[in-house]
Amino acid sequence: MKKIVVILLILLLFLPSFVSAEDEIITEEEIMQSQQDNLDINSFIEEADKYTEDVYKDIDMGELFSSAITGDIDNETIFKSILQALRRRGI
Amino acid sequence: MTNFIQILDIVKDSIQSLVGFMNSLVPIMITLMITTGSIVSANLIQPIILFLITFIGNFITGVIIPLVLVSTALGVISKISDRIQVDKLSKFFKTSVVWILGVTLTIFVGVVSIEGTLSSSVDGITAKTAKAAVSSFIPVVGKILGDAVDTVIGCSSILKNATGIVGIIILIGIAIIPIIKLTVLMAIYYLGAALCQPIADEKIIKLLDQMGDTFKTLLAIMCSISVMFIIGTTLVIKISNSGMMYR
Repeated sequence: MKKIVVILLILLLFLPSFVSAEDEIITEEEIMQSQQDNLDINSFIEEADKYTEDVYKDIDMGELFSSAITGDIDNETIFKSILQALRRRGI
Repeated sequence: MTNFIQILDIVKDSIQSLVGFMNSLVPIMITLMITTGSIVSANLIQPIILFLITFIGNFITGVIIPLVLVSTALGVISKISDRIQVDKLSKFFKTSVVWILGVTLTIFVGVVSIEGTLSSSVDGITAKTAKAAVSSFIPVVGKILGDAVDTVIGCSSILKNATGIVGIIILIGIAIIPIIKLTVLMAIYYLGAALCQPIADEKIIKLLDQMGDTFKTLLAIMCSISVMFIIGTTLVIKISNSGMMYR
């Protein structure tokens, strides 16, 4: 019995073990994209679009979100939209 | 008067839209806060913010706006009639509205900022401890795991900030049209009163002035609730960002 156990142990030790490491590098964009999908931020952006159809006609909320991630928001378009609303509704 | 009722409806609708949008923004912001490691802040802030937003929205549409309506009605009656004078009561209602708004704004900003300041330090220290534990107790790959945690938290933080910024821009978009309308109407009524003064009866001038005052109060309501929500969103962004500084 003892011999069998020892032989089994030796066999286990000599069994070839394969370890494969993929050289895949996960970028920050991929992490953010996966989190964006998991947290359902896209549906929030779609929902947000409905609230501002009247004011921000020229602005796509998805694009605005992407530009906010990179820290490059186009303030000019937002100001223009507000001024257009002022012209349309107020004056 | 039709104009006045329409404007009241617009203000009510806008407040409800603001509250509705905040109710969809806050949960996603809180989830993003949790992914950045601000668990204590998220648990403390979410019930408070959601309760305050819904309560304040309902309070303004259910109590404050009817008070403005009553105050306007009393003011108009006092200006038109020589016999019935309820001017002081109208003024009392108007002053009460302004005071209630001020107190509400202070309570909201105060509660959110105090809760956030306290909890963000706890979160920062907890995240730092967790990262240190992962880095030192897990052999061989501990440091890599710690760095990976850092990257994921950083990415979540960027996403949270972007969502907050989009949220603020949308809040401005919801509030801007009623604010523009109220400003223009207020200016028209005051201008009308000023232009009519040399030619019209004193009662009409006072009436126009009274209507201008009412639009001014409605404008104050609209501005304060939108500023309150913008400050609330900014504070939520800042609270979890300050927790990140401890890492």
